[in-house]
Amino acid sequence: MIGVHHVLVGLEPVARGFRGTAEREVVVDDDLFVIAEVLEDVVAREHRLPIGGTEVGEDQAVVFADRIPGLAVGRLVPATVGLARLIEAGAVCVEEPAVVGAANPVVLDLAEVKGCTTMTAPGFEQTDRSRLVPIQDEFLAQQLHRPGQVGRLARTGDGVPVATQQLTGRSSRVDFDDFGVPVPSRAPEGSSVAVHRRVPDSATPDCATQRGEGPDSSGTNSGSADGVSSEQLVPGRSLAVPSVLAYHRPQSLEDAWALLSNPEHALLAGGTLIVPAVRRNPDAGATFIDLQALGLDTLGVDGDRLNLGAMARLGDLMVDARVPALLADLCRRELPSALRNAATIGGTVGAAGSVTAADSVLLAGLLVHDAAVGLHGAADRSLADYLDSRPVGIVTVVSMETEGAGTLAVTGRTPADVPIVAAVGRRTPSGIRLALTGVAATPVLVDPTDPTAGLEPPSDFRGSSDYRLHLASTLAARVVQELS
Amino acid sequence: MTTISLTINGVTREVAAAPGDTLLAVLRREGFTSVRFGSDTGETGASAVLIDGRLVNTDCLLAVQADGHSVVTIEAYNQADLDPIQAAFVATGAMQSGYSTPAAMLGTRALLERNPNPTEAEIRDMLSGILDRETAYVKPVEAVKRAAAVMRGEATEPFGPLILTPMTDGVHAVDVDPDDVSPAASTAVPRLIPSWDVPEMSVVGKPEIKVDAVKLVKGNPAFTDDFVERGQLEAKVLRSPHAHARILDIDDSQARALPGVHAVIHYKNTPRIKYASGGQSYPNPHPHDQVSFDDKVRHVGDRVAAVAADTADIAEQALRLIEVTYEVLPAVFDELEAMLPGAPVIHDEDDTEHIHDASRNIVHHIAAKRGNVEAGFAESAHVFEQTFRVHQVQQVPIENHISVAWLDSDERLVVRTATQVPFHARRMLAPLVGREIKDVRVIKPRIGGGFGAKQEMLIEDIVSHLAIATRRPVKLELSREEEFMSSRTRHPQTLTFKTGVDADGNLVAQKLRLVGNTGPYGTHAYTVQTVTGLRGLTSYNCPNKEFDCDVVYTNIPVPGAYRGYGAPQAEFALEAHMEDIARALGRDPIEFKRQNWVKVGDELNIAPHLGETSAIEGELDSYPIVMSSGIEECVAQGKRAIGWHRREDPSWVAPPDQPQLRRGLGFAFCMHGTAIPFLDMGGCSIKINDDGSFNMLIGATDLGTGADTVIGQIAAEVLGVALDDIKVYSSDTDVTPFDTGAYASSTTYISGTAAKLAAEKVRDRIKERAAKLLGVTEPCSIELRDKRAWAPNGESVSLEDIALDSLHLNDQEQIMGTASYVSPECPPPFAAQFVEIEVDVTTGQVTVVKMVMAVDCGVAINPITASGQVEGGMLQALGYGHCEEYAFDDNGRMLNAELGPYKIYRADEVPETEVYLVQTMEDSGPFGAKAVAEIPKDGVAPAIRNAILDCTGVAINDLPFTPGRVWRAMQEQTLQPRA
Repeated sequence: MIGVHHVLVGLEPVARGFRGTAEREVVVDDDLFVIAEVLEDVVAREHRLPIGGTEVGEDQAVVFADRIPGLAVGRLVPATVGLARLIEAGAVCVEEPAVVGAANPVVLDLAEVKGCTTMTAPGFEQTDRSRLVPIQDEFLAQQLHRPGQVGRLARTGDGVPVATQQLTGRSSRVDFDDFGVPVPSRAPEGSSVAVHRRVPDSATPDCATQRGEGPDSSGTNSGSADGVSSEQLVPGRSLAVPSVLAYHRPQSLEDAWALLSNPEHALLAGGTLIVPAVRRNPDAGATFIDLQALGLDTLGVDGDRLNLGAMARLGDLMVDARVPALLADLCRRELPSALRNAATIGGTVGAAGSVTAADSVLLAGLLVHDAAVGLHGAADRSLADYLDSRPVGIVTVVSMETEGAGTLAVTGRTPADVPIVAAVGRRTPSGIRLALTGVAATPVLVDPTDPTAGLEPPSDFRGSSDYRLHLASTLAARVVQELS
Repeated sequence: MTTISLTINGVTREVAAAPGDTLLAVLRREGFTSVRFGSDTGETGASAVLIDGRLVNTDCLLAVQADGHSVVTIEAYNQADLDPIQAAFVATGAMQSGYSTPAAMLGTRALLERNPNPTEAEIRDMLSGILDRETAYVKPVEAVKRAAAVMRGEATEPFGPLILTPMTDGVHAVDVDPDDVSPAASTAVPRLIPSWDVPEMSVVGKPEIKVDAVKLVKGNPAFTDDFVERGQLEAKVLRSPHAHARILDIDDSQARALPGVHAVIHYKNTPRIKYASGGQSYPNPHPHDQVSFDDKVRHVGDRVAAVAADTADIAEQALRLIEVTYEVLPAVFDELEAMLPGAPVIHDEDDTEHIHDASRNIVHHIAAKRGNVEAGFAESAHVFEQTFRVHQVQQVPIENHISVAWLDSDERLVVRTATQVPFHARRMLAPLVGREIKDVRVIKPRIGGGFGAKQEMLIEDIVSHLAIATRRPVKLELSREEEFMSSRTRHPQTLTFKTGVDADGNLVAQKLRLVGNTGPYGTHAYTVQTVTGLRGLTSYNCPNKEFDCDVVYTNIPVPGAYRGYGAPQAEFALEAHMEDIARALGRDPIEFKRQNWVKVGDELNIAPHLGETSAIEGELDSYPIVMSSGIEECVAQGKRAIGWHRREDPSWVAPPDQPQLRRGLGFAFCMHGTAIPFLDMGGCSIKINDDGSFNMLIGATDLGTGADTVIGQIAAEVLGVALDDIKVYSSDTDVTPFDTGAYASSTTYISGTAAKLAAEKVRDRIKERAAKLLGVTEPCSIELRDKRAWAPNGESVSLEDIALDSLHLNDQEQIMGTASYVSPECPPPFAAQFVEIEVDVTTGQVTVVKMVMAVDCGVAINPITASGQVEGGMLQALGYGHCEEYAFDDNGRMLNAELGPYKIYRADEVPETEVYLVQTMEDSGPFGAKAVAEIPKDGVAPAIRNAILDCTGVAINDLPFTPGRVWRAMQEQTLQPRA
């Protein structure tokens, strides 16, 4: 019933969340904090999300706007004692009267087209409200983490909407807003950008309300997913995440982890990626868990490895004598001064699913320093593995080797431009470790003797796939030569 | 809303903040106006403050993140006297508009507290997060160095120009000795090469500090957004997702129903009044092809509807509730394709007049000629023809477009707006909102850069419609993305030059065929392409010339005015074309160009045929003549500064130990104009105050250029007072005299002359009264200097006494003078642009190492602000040639509408930049001045192109020189082994 309920609510946008506005009754049980939310007093359309949108979270209280109110059943929510702020997450299960579904054939009709709703079209770009995807259909689309999606969606903000025709015409891509849809292997980001969101925005030509009816209106690629040819690696530092609904600053990792169990909560490190994205996607909604109070900004030396706390700022690492020279230089190159003083190492790693990551020279540098990611809530692992598996967890520490000279070779439009392609290398006792940016969705470790093996770089206006391959082999050779 | 605790400038306060509020929003709400909006990604750095001592952007930082932290803004250092950092920024002319200067000064403080003696690299790294579109970072870096020295307790010299000895006699070329090197000095110091015929003056020609320096370095409220009207609403604009579509219907009922929404406007409820948005003199050039809200959209980002609401969030939410039904039409983006049969017709409405051929999307056909080019080609020994394509770039002022409109207590419409053209804006706005001009007032406060983007009535009509509809003040500020998609850009063009040369290398005939892409609207279409023709066909003497131009509608974001105004396109093509001809003829490029370029006494023989208001057909009795040119001195100084002889050294050009590296030097001859003759007009009014100081009202608009300062210096020189005794106010259509505005390199020349004339009237009246007080019979024998009037016998009376006498004691009168000026002349400034580059021939990456511009701008009224203009202009020009470009998807949506992906240079990567100011005495200008603002835009791109050609043999005829494009060209052409 709950699953069906979500389909219905999402497809038929009559529901409004009213987080924080309903009366609450807090009942203290012997064992638990218990929160019940009362819905009866809510007047239709009176309460709206503070920041736009019609999304209804799984655990969010719901009231129907102009239809039969749902039957609210206060669900007792066990909350960890001490997490007072978790009250925000207090959930109500709304049971949908069965008759509603039958009485709204439109709903059922729409449900039939749900299969294509995993195509992209950020909610903001629709003139209509967002739709919900049935869980079983959520990840039908191909190429989940191909670059391009995030940057494009992130650009949606208060800017110009994109016609659904246009978007779907480009290719069939999964909506990256689906961060939080519970597919464990893919779901939340690590540190700075983890967002779980219950209701993906998605649309198809069929359910879009860009109702062009003229002879040409359906002409522009409408409905045809013409493959991946227009996939692009868009340079930029932004990520499609929901708007800020609330903010938490937990005082312990355990508290942070507990907060993260709510799929609408996202981790916040420096904020240089996530906050611009929030502004651009005002239709969505998320609650931030700021990790600044956890003391994660310290550096420590452990044998031959250096441990960087996840919240250590790039600007501080750049001038810290314990940081290997190459990495210090890469911290400088990664971002200009006023951004670098907010951005963190954990955020850089945690944002590895963003489009920025593809071009991150710092991630490449960490890879060649054999970096490992320490996680709360998941097993520690190598950075390469982390980039691959994207586990749910809070990045707490990034550790790395420090010995061995390193160097890099880059090609960019200007000297401080984000490189189109960068090759970063380090000499180790066992040989040269070499990583490339700009050739895949994330920086990749490559074989120094055959650096372009298996690479299929995406094209964009800064460099075609062929050109990127040419740069990769040229720059890799320069690094190898310099280190040999 | 939650309550957070912020320690701002040492004072802990509890402030309310919503979870999503940025710290920028909270700080501005709390009255810290020095923290400014530039973008929402942290890329501009205009919003940076110190948080716990670190320079951090506040536009991408949540206020709640700063809860419990210490925040420092520049207001913390505001005392009666400037602190050492502020003083250093003032002394070195480090701010032009000053919009981001508070952030730069805070970064300086953080840096110097950590490291009292930073290296230049560390200074540049600190500034890397604060984009500056105006100064090229040259003088800010100098300011940091100076502040560091002062704070270390070291003595500093006054900051002023380095005076150099002329290398030429001003007329003839000289050989530059390779062993001769330019005198060493900081790059921030302008090199001034004086001319014997320029008299010594007391204020003009001096490195005076800007009259607006204090308010800018203190971050005082000065810009449009720094003043908030009571009950002010926020507006947002719904923009088209389609490059070309008809709006079949708009349903705004849900948006109107949203609480907090006060008005929704679109084509159904606004009058359909045709206009052209370009800020130009009456009558605005045709076609008038825009309306405030149309039922058709013609580019991605075009206006669809606008909402005024209590907050920006509500307005945005309302936008999403507006249901628009589009009929999507096919679109066309390329100027050549747009003219082909079957191309979509972009202006198919029946109420736009004066489109040359709407069915083929041709807005204008422009033709001009002298002599007979076909006959000329027939008699030429050699004929060369080349086609060049130039691309679309944007002005990117760090302050986005912003306007606030309200009805005052007399119910007149008042618009405070970031504009370069307040008077044009008033005249153009009035009919759109159904008002007479007398009932509209436009106020221009400080502007955070314009570069032509604000020579446009871009959003003033939207806020005015909304203010009238709601009877509340309404503010609209564009986001950075909107700025890219919906403001104005540089016209892309396809240029074909055909040139006939005789056996001696003299030009015989030259023809320019131009197809200009004006996007969906013809704003500035006629005039920009006309200037392209003018600049493309004026620099070199040639008896037979022809300009043949079509200006074409397409569905790209709208091009308009951008500093240079058609000249950078023309001069890129022309200087590349002339370079290639010289090479084909086996001539030294500079020698060949020199043989043909215009010199003193030469006729500008096609100029009158390419005017803004009247393109004259048929021969004239007389043509304008070049009266002053310092080009030979410019070339000599530039050659020496760049080390021109090195291009003959094979081991320098292609170092044997670095096989992938080539080094090249490039040159471009630059010539521009100064104002539009018989059209640009400026007015000035000056009155004396009780203490012998003066108020000066001017209509001229200082965008950060230093216009207020320079015009003040001109008046001060005439009146014999210090600049500080001239209180400059500009500009407000209710208060100040008319001025056409800040464009066409006109302000110093036109408005400056108006100020000079007004000051002379005041001076003459002062002399009359001084003569009476001093008992002198001949008032003309009185001299004004040091704020006193001096009789020939050495007696004097202070201006204060004269003022008190005239205002209070005898024959009371207000001594005042008003004057205006329009020029019959358009004296061209000249310049020699040199660049040094490195090319990685394996990757195609071009690195620009050094830029030198030696410019003849007549007499530089203020060498600091003049050199600042050249530095900033050159860096913008470098962006044009090197890294800036609009990238689109197939549907015309911009892919890189964000700083970063749209790359503009930052402080830690700019080439070394040197500026040489070669004085000449231009008799038609105020105290000998010509223009300086636009000529630096002209030469960088062709100089880079020619340098690439020189060191690799690869000629690239389209812009910009990004690695992929250069690499591709090197695949297509053969890399020449350098001899």
